[in-house]
Parts: sequence; structure tokens; C-alpha cells
Amino acid sequence: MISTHALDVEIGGKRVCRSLDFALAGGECMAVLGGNGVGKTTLLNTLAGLREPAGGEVRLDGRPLARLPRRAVARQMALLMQHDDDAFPATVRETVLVGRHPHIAFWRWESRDDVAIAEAALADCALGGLEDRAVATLSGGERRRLAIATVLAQQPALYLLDEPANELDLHFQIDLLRHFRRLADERNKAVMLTMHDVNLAARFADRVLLLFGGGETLCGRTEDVLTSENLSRLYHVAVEITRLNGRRLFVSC
Amino acid sequence: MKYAISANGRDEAAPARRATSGVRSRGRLASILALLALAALAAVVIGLFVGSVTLAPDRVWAVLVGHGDPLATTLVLDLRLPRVALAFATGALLALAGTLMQVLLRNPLADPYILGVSGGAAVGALITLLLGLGVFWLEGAAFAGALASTLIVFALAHGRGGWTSMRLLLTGVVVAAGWGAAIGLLLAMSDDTSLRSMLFWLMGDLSYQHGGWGPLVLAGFALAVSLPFARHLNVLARGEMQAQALGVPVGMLTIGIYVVASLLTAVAVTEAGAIGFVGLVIPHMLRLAGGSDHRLILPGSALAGGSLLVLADTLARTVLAPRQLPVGVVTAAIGVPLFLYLLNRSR
Repeated sequence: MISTHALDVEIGGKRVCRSLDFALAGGECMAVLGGNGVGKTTLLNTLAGLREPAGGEVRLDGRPLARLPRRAVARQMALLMQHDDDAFPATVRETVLVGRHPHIAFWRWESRDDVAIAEAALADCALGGLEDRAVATLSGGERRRLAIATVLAQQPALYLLDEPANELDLHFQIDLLRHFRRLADERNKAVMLTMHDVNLAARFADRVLLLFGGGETLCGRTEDVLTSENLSRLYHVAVEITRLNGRRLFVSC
Repeated sequence: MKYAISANGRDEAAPARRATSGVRSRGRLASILALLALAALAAVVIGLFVGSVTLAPDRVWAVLVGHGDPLATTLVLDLRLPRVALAFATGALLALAGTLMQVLLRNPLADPYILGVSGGAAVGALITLLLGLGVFWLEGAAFAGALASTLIVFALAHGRGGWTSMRLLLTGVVVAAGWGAAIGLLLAMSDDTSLRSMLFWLMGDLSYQHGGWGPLVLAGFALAVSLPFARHLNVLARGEMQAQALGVPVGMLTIGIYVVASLLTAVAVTEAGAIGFVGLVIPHMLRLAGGSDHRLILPGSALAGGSLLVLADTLARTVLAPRQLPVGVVTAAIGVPLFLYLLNRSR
């Protein structure tokens, strides 16, 4: 689905990753972990083709991302951003329909199918019935779910999610990650997400990419990478592992 | 979240549920546009029937159906009609340009003049007024000043690397402030006789004019060019990065918006001076009335902007007839309470 080849990413003279090679296939879910300001968003934006890499390249289905038309890319991958820009008033329905944009031909209007897909995405994010509400009247968590619904309406093969769990309560965090897990398991989608909750990453991701800062990275299977040693180094605090009902729990000390 | 997607496999398959809301919203959009078109027609009729010289409605009607008396024909077809056309065109140009600028800068406070276009035009126009040159020179100088300002702001904001909307906005505001200082200087240097015409020009004035058929064609053309991109504008309004991630060619689109909006403003300001308010407020009235879809806002603001300016100009030339008021004063006098009412109602 998406792969990087000797990828170097830099921002403001700071290295995010050096010679990074990984490939993410359909059905897989990869969590990106790292401290604040280490470049998780920058990496995601580079993978989405919104930033030029400092070296190497990103390929989508084996073809160099930089040479693919943006509209074709947008049908293949969606990016959930950390923050939304809502300078202008809009309703919930208008906002979620924006996700259908890459699928609609230049001259066409949204079809009934587009509207139905958008409404289904809203229902999946427990926003059904709020279609005519102004976005400005939604709570922070509802807005976050609206942004997620917009990405779902885009129906890509690859989801790049920048801190999707932000502003969501515990219930919605679990529901959200379960939903993307099912999209991976049952519909062969690829999911890559940045997050801060190690326990959620351990529970839902097959693979983990750690960004240590200074360009150092570690990528591998979740159970191999999420060790007390690696996480203590990642967050600069001691992290220990306990077990509860057979599941590993990560606790900072 | 309910797992409707995985539960019944609706994800990629054609949706089973009947969805009518898209159709409903298109119908609503058409009815708002139809209403605005009726309002525009009414404004034009009022503009033709009302004037500083009182003409009985049946005499105006006779002219419109083709057998009026000579005096009425001259008044309606040679004086009122071209002026109504110019007022409508100017209002449409300004409202379109304002809509485009607001999307380009993603700032609801943007108006057509925010990048200094009117300041450049004003400096050009005031210099010709100060020198006592004719209307031909005034128009040429105003247009040249508007284009010069556009190019200066574009070049400065572009700088090294790309431009962000914030950088463009700041550059425009600073350049506009520079023009403001130059305008102050020109006003201070001028004598009393040219001061009055300068002030009128600065407040917006449709009285020099010879007719608005050219600007009217331009407004129609600009609408025809920008309307196919309306859905792109909807996406761009959500942010540049977001738009790019959704497959919108952001670089080309923003340059296109910049060029079109600047050109429309330059023509409007050349024809009618710096008429304030229309370009700022008409797009917002549409947003308050009909949501955020630019397939409504673009044609709607052209119609509403044109109507507002025709009505304002009709008032401007009749209220204190034979004396004429600057039309910019009247647009604000109508627009401010109307806008405040809409804003208040929407909360």
C-alpha cells in the first residue's frame, strides 16, 4: 500500500527520521509513538505528500507519490489532521460531504450515493441526527468525531490519522480504534496513526514505529518493540509493564 | 459508534438507504437563487422607474415596450439604464471579488480592497484629479494603480518560497496602509475645488459614467469561470492542507483566485471608485442565509451585490435631488442595519 525508501524527513533543521524504510500493507494498523515535537505530524504529512522529503521517497502502491496526480492520491489515502480550520460557518452535512470531493467528477454534484455514504459515516461516529447543526455549536469531542466522519466518507484504502483520539472520551476512544481495527481486518484497509496512549497502541496496532528524535527510529511488531527499555528511552521516564487479564499494561513510574 | 459499516457491508457497496437530503439541498439552493433573481429584477425595475426627474410609470413603461415619447426615452434608455447597468455590474463584481478574497485568505474580514487594490487605484485617480486631467486619464490611472498594487503585493508576499494566506494578508494590509498615507498626502496637497471630487471618488461614485455594459459582461464571464470551481472553493475554505489532502490543486487554484479577484476589483474601482461594504458584507449575508456552499454563494452574491448597489444608487440620486449623494454612503446606510438584523437573527 504505502512504503518509504531511504526516507529522510527534516523540519526546521531538525531530523525526524533518517533512511527510514518500511512498508504498510492492507489489513495492517501501525501506531507512531514519540514525544512532543519529535515530528510525528511532520512524518504523517510527508507520507500524505503534503511536504517534500529531505531525501528518499514515498511510494503508493509501488509508484512514487510525488508523481501521482493529487486527486488520484486523495482517492487512495485520507489524512485526519490534528486541528481543523473552521473560519467559515458550515453545517455538519456540508462538512462531512467535503470528504466525497475526490470522488466527484469536476462538473458533477454530490449524488444520492455520496450523500448516503456521508450520512452513514456520520452515523458511524454517533453523529446521526445532527446533520443540520452548525459546526460552531458542536462540542470539541463532537467536532473531532465530525473530522473522523469526513475521513471515513472519503473511503480511501489508507488512513493516516494524526492523534485521532484527541478530545475523545474513553468510550469513544475505544470505539474509534475498534472501528479502524475492523476496517483493517474486514475491509483490508491500511491504518497509520499517531498517538500518545501506549496502552491503546499495544491493544490495537500490529506494528509500531517509534520516533526517538534526532532521526533515530525503530519499527517492528508491537510485542517486540513495546518493551520497558524502548519506552523508557522514548519518553525519558521509566516505564514498567504489568499484566491484567493477560493483557500487557504500560505504567510510567 | 455503531458499527453500521462492518455490520452490513455498506462501506463500498451502493448505499441501500434512500437519501434525499442532497436533492433537497439542491432544491433549496435553486429557490434561494430564484428569490435573489426576482429581487435583482425588482431592483432594476425600481432603478428605471425612479429618478431625480419624476416620470409617470406609464411613460416609463411605454419606453420599455418601445413607443415612448422622446424625453422619456432619453431619460430612461440613455441616462437611467446605463447607470443601472453600471451599478448592478459594480455591485456584482465587488461581491464576487469579496467572496473569492475571503476564501483565498480564509478570513471572514477580507474584502476586495484588503490587498490594497483600492488604495493603488485611489492614488492613481487622485493624482489625475489633482492635475485636473479628464475622465479618460482618471480611469487609466486608477486601473494602472490597482494593477500595480496587485503586482506589488503578489511579489512581496511570494518572497522566497511559497506564500501563506497569513503572509499575503499582512503584506496586503501593510501595502494598503502605505497607499492610505499617500492618499492623505494627496488630499493635503490639493486645493478646495478638487478636494470635493476627490472625496466623492474615495467614497464611491457612479456619476461620471457612460454605462456598465463592459463590466456587466465581465461580471457574467467571471461568474461563468469561477462557478465550476465552486466545490473546490468549498474544500479550500476548510484549509489549504486539508484541500491538498482532498486532491484540490491548491497552488494553481489560489493563484487563479488571486488574479480573478484582483482583476474584478480593479475594474470595479476604476468604474465606480472605492465603494465600501458591498464586497465585505454580501458574501456573509449569503452565508447567514444559506450556508457555506459556494455554488450558492458565488451566483447569489453577484445577484445580491448587484441589487444592493442598484437600490443604493437609486436612493443616492433621488433622495436629495438634484444633488447626488456618494453611493458608498448609501450602501452602508442600507447594508449595516440589514446585516446586523441577519446576524442577530442567526444566533
